[in-house]
Amino acid sequence: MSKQIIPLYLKKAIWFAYNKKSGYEGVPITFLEMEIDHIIPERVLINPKEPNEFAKWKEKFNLEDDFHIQGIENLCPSTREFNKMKSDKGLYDKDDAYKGFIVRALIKAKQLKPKIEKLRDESKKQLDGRKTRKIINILNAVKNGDINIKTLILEGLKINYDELKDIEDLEKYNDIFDKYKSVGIRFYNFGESFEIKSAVRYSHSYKIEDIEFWINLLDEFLSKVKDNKIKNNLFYEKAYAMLKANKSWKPIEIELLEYFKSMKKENNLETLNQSSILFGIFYGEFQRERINSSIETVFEIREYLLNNLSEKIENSQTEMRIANLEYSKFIVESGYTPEEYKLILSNDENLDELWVNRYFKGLKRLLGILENVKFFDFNEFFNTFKKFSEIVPIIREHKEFDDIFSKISNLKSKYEGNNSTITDLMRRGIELYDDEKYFQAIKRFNKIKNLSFNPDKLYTCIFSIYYLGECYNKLGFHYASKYYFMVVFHLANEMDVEYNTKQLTYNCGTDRIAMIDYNLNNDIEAIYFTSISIILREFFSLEGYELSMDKNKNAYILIKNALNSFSYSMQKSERLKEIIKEFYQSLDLLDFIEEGIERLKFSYSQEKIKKIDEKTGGFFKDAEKLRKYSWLQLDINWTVKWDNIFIDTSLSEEFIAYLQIYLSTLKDIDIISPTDIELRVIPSSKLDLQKINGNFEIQIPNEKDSDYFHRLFAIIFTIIMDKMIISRDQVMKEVKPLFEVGYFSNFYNEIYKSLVPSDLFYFYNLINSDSNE
Amino acid sequence: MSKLSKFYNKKISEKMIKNRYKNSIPPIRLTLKRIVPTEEFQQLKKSFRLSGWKDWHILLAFFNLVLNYRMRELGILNNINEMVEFTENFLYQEEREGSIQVPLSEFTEHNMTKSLEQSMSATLGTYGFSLEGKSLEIEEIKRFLSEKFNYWKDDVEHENIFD
Repeated sequence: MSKQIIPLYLKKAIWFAYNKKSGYEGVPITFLEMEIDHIIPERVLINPKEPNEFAKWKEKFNLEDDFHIQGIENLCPSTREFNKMKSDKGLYDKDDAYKGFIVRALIKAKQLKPKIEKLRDESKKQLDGRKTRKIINILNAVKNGDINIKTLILEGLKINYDELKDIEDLEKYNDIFDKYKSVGIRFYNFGESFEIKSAVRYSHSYKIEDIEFWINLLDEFLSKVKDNKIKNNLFYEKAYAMLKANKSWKPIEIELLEYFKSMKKENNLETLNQSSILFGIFYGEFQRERINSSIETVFEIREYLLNNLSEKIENSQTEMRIANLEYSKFIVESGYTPEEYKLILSNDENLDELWVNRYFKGLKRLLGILENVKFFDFNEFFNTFKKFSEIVPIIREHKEFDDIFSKISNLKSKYEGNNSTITDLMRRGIELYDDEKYFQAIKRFNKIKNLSFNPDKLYTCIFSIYYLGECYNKLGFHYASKYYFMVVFHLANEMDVEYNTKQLTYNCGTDRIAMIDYNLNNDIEAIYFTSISIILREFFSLEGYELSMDKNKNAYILIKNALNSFSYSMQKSERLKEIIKEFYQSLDLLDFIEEGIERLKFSYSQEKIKKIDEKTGGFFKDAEKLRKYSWLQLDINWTVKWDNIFIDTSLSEEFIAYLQIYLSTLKDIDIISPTDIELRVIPSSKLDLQKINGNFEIQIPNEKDSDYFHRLFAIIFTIIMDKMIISRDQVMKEVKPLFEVGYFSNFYNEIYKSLVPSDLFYFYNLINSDSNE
Repeated sequence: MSKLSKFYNKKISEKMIKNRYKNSIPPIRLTLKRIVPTEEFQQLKKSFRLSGWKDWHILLAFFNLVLNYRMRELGILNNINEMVEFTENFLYQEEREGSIQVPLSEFTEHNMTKSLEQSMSATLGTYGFSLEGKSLEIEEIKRFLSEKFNYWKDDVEHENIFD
């Protein structure tokens, strides 16, 4: 099976150059039936049987020094039958039956190379032109208002999306290439690293001629960047690109050893996975004598990679993390162990059997772990296993191969099956959202969220969570909304995802949290998230950060709100003025805001302040010593009170968020005599409920057990049953989805604690003491 | 409260009414035979029908009135265990000649209305609502059953009991 991707225009050029005939037998062949064969097998490049195998082929067939296995000079149109028979014969087969075919094909390929190149370029131009015209027509129609993009998507207009995607990818790549060619790297930040990474990957798959440029650019990036995560990521890309371009790793061997050493304590999932892959290749390069390191060094690296992976597996909390780490461990373990290597040296015949049995044992163990995991790239697992089994024949010959292969195929199909409905579900979800059917949309987005929690669909998954936040926001359930926006931030920030997904950290994460905080009059927290949002924009920006209504609407609104809060505090009291100045200073926002105040002539009169105080109770409500939040849901006025201390606030907000989500599922239940309910949240070592003078005190633990949600919902049910007459059957029916695995994938207070610094409470205390004076 | 309950199902509601017609007659068959033809009861029936009562409401009120009268006569209204035992026997047996006879004078508009109101709590129970430990105005229950569960609208074809 070919590893080289032969583009359509090249395939077409070969077909015409060979007069629509097979290059080996000269029989007529249709375009669709034609296979492009590598005359000298591609395997020689990827997995040579001995280090100098390619040299032997060159010698036998008298090939020139610049002969490329993936070059046009080695490509030949063939029928499927002939291709299968020929396979990789030519050097080791005793009867040498295909020598004549190979020699003739090599001569013909060399002769036709210039013609094929010419036809290829013409065909490419034609194809690109046709595709471009098609795109331009659609874009013009959209621009003229004949078609609306949203309608186009929702109506499912018959367009070959793969074709569009190919063009988009190429255009995107060309833009990135042109940009870095003309202006180079400017920010050395995450944004640029993601962009370059995507271009490098595209280049070694479709534009190998550019790879040298990218490798040099990666070198430049690596020489200046300080962030270790970016460094490790880009080094991986560079090493992988060099391998794809068939470049030796010898020039980077010292860096590579340093990279492996840095993996001794590495914790990042993506980096660990990448280091496992690089180690697998490194071991292979060692066996092919393409690196200088000794076997002792190889085994030393192997040992500390495995030790670190085992330690991380031991300390992992989620199935997803365990599964991905186990996969990395499996990759490292796929190479020979030191004991097996001794058998190589003594030419022991039992080696193959020992190794393959160990390999299958590890594979079966891994499959057992993967069977119930959702967040795992089954496509990559399937493709890697398939390719590996093609280049290591003893795997295919193993008695358990068929069984294992079908198990992995099933996992892949199940995974793809889950993915296949997601686009339709998402369309429907957005339709419901647009039609303001928020409760229905919530159900839909929850389903999408659970189905799409996998590496392929993470962008959709995070977007569905964002929409959940928006639905609750529209319904006025702000803490439920904040919960989902915090999950968006958390997932987009913590997961190893592409650039577009990273942008969601501020677009759909911090921006929205800040907006919600403003809605809740939590101005201090809102300003804090505004500053984070600006930092993230600078961190990921590819254009430099510009604050304008056109280009950065969200940030613009947030900053205007920050200006409002600032102006209020400047006029409210001297003490508040000093505190808020100190606060803005701590966020590195003071100069920026003062400049804004000056430029926009923002100034609050005492009269305006009085009006604001009368209407909303003033700014900085999140500084109050005893905090209180009230909202109307199920015809009941709910009030939750808590002390404004870090832990209490995180647990109280968490409780309100879960309560709002729980009550949302009950929106249709029948209630007789709803009565207002007041609750007080107290942190405790265990979850408990007490009724004091007709009001409830709910004790919430910081550390949660696995059955936390079951018990919490039972407590909420008890509260509701105590205060009104409802049907237990109705409640049970409606809340059932909440108990499905994955409905609450993250604990609110855990994310809150990782996002909100306890320093904010220092300012709350200052403001609070000010208001008491 | 202005629209039917999401959990209301006309078919289930009609099935419940059908069961009431089917199960309520045997334990009071003889009393029905004795009381229904009387002029007093016929007047009462007319008045109830004019107020929107369906036959199953009249039957349910009649049934509860007989049950409560007999328990009161037996002096077991303060003993929950005996009440439960008596009710279970009452529910599943054909009325016998020797049963405590309920005088015609008991079948007044007031008593019948009270009996139906008492049954409403049980009707709420069939939908999963429990009033245990809670006090609720009867008018609120009436309004709730009417608006959410078509209490005064639903009926099924049934044998002629009261004409």
